[in-house]
Amino acid sequence: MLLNVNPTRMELLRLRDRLILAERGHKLLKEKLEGLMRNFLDVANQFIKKRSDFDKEFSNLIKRYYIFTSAYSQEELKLLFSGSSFTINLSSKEISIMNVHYPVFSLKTEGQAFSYPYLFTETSLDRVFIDFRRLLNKMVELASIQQELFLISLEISRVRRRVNALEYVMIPNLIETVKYITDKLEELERENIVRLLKVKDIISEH
Amino acid sequence: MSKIAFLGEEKLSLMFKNFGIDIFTVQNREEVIKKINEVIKMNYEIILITEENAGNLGDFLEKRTETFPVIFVLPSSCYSGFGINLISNVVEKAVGINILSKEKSQ
Repeated sequence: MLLNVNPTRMELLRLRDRLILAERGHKLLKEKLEGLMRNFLDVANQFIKKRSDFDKEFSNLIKRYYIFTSAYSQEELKLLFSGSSFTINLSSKEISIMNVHYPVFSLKTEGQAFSYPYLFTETSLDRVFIDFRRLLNKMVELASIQQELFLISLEISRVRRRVNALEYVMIPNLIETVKYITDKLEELERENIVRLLKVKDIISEH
Repeated sequence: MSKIAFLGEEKLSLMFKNFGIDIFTVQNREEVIKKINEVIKMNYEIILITEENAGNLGDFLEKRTETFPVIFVLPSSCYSGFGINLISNVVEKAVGINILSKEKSQ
């Protein structure tokens, strides 16, 4: 599609500059997209592997938790667990790679995994809690990877839209308009020459 | 205040509370959307939510663009892969192909 501009020499110069800029931007964005894709594939593979392991372990854990606590009412459980001294210290750092800002967490824990009186509970419940404590680290790590993956894919779609807009709309439009203006200017020049020749003819006839 | 929050069913949340995670309980699925919007405003860094409750949050979670808080969907006792599906939907929209579930089926 032709841009709505006057076919003048000044406009031509301006458009040529814009075209050069657009081509440079397109090249850079394309490279960024490739970089993001490569990064994305690494993270995706890592995520799938870790996530499916975690999901299996965790759903197993929840099942066990329900089974071993089925003998107690909610009030009793609340009382049993009320003596917990476990604390979680989560610190996060925001990392930015290619305009993708994702958090990396580090987890510090303190205290016993279970502090309820052993007298009233089964040993199997203890194991559930120990497993949960182990999975807690994985959970935090996965949360960070998941967010990274999520944000990378958002960034990819954004960059891809820009690359496509440049490649299929902006650059062809500019090229077409530049061609239109150069044609128009050449046409004017030819007209001028013909006019001069005609004038010369008329003068020589006299 | 802990930086991790758990949103879900009451009995399960007792275990999370034991580990120093802040808990928010919900009675039914309709409440979840309202509650999660409240919890997001509270400056938590990770929000854990169970698969059952996240069931009708799919659209909401896919449209988020903020870095914090991270909403992490935990699997429930019957594993359905909701967490992976959620991410793979987002990925499919971005990349054009569903890389994640293809590899899962291999």
